[in-house]
Amino acid sequence: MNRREILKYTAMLTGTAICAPLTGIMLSGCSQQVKETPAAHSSLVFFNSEDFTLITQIMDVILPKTDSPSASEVKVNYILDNMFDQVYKSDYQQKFTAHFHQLKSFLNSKNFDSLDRKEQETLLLSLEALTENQRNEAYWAYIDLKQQTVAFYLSTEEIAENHLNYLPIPGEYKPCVSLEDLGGKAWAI
Amino acid sequence: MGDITMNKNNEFDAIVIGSGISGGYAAMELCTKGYKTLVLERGPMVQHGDYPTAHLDTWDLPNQGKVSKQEISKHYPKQSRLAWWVNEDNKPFINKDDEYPYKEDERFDWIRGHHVGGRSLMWGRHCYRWSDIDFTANSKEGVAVDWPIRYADIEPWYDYVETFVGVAGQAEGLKQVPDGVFLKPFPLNCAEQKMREAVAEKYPDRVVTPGRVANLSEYNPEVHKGARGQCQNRSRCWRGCPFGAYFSSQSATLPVATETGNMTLRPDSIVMEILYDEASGKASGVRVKDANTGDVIDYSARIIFCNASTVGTTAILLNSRSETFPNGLGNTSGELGHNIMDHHYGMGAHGQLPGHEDDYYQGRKPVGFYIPRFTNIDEQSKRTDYKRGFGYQGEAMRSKNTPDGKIGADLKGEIFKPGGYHVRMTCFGEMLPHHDNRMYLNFDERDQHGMPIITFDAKLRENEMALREDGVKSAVEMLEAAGCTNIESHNNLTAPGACIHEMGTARMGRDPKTSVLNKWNQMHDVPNVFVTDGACMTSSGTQNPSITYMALTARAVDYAHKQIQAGKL
Repeated sequence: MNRREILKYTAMLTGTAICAPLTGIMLSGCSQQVKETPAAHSSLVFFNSEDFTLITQIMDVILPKTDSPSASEVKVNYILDNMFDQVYKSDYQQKFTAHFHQLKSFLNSKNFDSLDRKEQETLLLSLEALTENQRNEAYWAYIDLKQQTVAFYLSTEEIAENHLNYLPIPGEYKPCVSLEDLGGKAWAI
Repeated sequence: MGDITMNKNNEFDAIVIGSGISGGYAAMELCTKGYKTLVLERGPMVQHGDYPTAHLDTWDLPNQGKVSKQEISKHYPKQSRLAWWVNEDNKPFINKDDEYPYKEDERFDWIRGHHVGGRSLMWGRHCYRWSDIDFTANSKEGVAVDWPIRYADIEPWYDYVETFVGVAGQAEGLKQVPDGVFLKPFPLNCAEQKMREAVAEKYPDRVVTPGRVANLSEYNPEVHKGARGQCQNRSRCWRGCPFGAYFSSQSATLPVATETGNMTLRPDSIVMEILYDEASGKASGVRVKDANTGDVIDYSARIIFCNASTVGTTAILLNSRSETFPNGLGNTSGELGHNIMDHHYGMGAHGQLPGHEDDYYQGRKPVGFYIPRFTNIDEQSKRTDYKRGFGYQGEAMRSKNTPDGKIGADLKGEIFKPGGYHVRMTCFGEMLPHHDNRMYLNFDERDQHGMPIITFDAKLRENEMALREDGVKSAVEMLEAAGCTNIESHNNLTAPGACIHEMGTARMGRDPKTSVLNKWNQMHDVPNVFVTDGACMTSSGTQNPSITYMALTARAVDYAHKQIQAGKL
């Protein structure tokens, strides 16, 4: 089963009422979280294995595992890979690829791979701290990744239902409520 | 091509062509008055509740709810010109361009959904009354032709349809959008209320009011008949509402029509032409092609209501050629297909609204705010640079929170909180009727059903361009008045059609020489044919038009009924 199919079936898995037979396929074939192995990477549809590994690392520095899952634990890396393949237009694909190449060179030059987590954070934050006229392609690739990582992370079922306020059928509309009364959390949808 | 058959079973009292917002209304009114009514819909059946994506969340849909590039380029190259329109959640109700071809001399974004219920399933649901500012505008300015009706003619019919439809809204006492029969509004949230007050203080003539929408904020089964129910504030209306909370043909008019036992609904029925009987000087019926079998069948009726949408109706009329009407049924004026209008948008502004850190909302109301037109409504608001005006739809919502300069656990401490309030407003402008803006049939090219290809030749002109400028400027002024920061404005020209409010191609008027329909939506030339969809409109106003189509439809059915009773029709 390739990634594209998984996403399609994920829709059916979570919308349990609509397609019971397919949930069986899903559970038997792909219930385990995809491990970071070259074999798993064969399901990639846009990025190559090397770039995907780096993207996954960056995403997990941006959103590491704490009392909530890391970005890759909820498969934000695979969501991104799929979006690039299925949705994003070729001019954007090319632009991102060029920017990402620069980001990769920059991180390699700083031995990103061998840094500890704190050092990785500091390095990425140094990119973010660039002033407007210093901002280079590596900066744009990183900011792009950060924005998408957060957006897709928040739109996963795991995060939406367990770490945000999720109210599928609100019933009443209340125009002014206290954020504090909602536990300080945003609405998932 | 199958046989043309004609038998007893093909006779009806009335035929309604189209099952969308006005066709459903015509069907209901005719059936409840006792007419055996045939409702013809060119698309397939959609039953109420047959809404496959109604309960799916983002993570349940492929590609974060976006339709893949491959699918877009294969099926939706034109429908997706509206960047916001074709999504995984509403895709089931959007026509595939490869199945419904049309041509353009000038770009025209013809956005459609061919199925029972038509676009009443995906409509924006905003309902604003027209006023005499609109009905007298053509006459006062010497533009096109005068409307043959005034507000007083339609006012009781607005009352009538609003009561049944259920319009949530707030009375404001405004002459440009008269108050109607309202259910309680979907209230402004804290930030929107602040904006209302700040704008009112600086610009007393600009009113930020809760959008008036056909969603049941209060459900009363006594009047909201059919398959209706209380709005659950999910804001997933365009997927079809399993609660029947917004007005659609499926949730409201068709169930009521069905209950009378007088309706025969025939989906997959492409109306090829309306048949004209030279001897009686009336239409005798319609010729239909079954979309699945290709069989051609004639149906006869005493009266015919055309509700196939502005463009659909006009195409049928243009294709209904006879010795008397070589250029299309009821087209002695030569105006059929001309004067096509839409609203135009793509201009507006957005910005951050600081403060309100602890103010949040609960639920996803199906509408934000509306700012009715405020220019050229009286002597004080008169503009020298353009005619007519524009209104706005907008909202204030808290955005996602992805702060700069944070990463890792620090960032995670922020992203589960809501970001600050963001206000957006989109301007919708009036489009003047212009004879050269038109649609026509290309008889040299045919679609898969053998029908001539509909072709568009229309564009925005000088007046539209001028009012857009003021629309953008005024949007920025209001955001500034509200205290917004980081304000950005935009003015991206849309093509006609893009607002999905196309209208005007069989206009009403006083003079048969310059208009197609009289003041009762009745063809000047063919008295038993009525057109009560958007084709009838003599000007476009700035208001979303559907509630006006419904009011005109109910009024026209009432008139036809009285004429029949009096033996005149």
